[in-house]
Amino acid sequence: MARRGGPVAGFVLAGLAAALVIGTVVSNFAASTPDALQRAVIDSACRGAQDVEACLAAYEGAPVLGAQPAALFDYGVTWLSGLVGVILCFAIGTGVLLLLRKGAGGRRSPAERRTR
Amino acid sequence: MAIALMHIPDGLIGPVTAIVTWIIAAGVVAYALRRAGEELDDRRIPVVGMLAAFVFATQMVTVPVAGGTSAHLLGGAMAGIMLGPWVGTLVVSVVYLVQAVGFADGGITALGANVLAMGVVAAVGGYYLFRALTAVLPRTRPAYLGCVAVVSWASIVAAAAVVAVFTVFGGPLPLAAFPVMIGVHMLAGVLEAVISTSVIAAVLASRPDLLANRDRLPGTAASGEEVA
Repeated sequence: MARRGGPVAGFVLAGLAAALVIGTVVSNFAASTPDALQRAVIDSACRGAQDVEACLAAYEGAPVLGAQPAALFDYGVTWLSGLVGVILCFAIGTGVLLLLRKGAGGRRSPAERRTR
Repeated sequence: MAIALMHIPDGLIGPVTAIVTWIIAAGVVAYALRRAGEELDDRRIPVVGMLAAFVFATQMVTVPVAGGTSAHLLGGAMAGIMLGPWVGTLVVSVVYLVQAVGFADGGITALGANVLAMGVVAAVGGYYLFRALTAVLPRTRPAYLGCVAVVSWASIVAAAAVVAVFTVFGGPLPLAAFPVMIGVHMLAGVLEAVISTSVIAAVLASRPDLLANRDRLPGTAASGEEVA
């Protein structure tokens, strides 16, 4: 099965290119209206509250375990966030599996053992 | 500025829920790592990173849905259908990790809950729902993509329901959050279905050999035997 289709470099590069365009360019046009969970909080918990903003803040203010590290980055500069996030996700997603494969002692394609 | 469809922030689930969901999520991700290591041949490893990057990018693009609410792709079901339940779980877990640690998008204490609700439910549940649906349908392109659409939609509604369970029974939200979460996501699911189906249609046209569920591809024998 490993022979079919050949190398994936082109496919991966095309996908990464799409991810970069979406993350750095298209994301600038993202809507900033509340997301659905915020909406759920506003609509249910804070229904009828005098100050909806304060009501929301009361819910989201306190971290559960008293530990809320500051974000390493934030979405302040959209295109940069997209670039960093795309690179990080690709690096971690690929890296963790490569490490795992290395740790397995170079067994080749154990997928043969169990086919779906 | 928070860009999230339904990522649970710190404070919207209680300490017990946070700890329990973290433990369960850690176990599931560990299992997913092992299974992914077994299932993936070397050449498909970069595809995992690429899909994580793609899901991250699309999650940044929030689109107005209805009633002053915005939504974006979750991608869990798409990842599960494309790469199988465990590799799919891994893909979305990477995304939520980077979002929580790097961008404070979804709380770190809520990371376990987010991985379970939006990752495992969508990727694993979506995969098996897709298997079940395609098992009884003809192996045609419209049926295949139709199943992708239905499963993607259902995955969003299911994820929303689980988030509601965590935040209502394991957090401070009142019961009234349930109909709101479900209602909004029945609409958001349409967006999820359109994008997921488009992406999988593109992969189906270009590199069907990289898809999981090879025995369900259009044109394979309907007997359930894999044609490969």
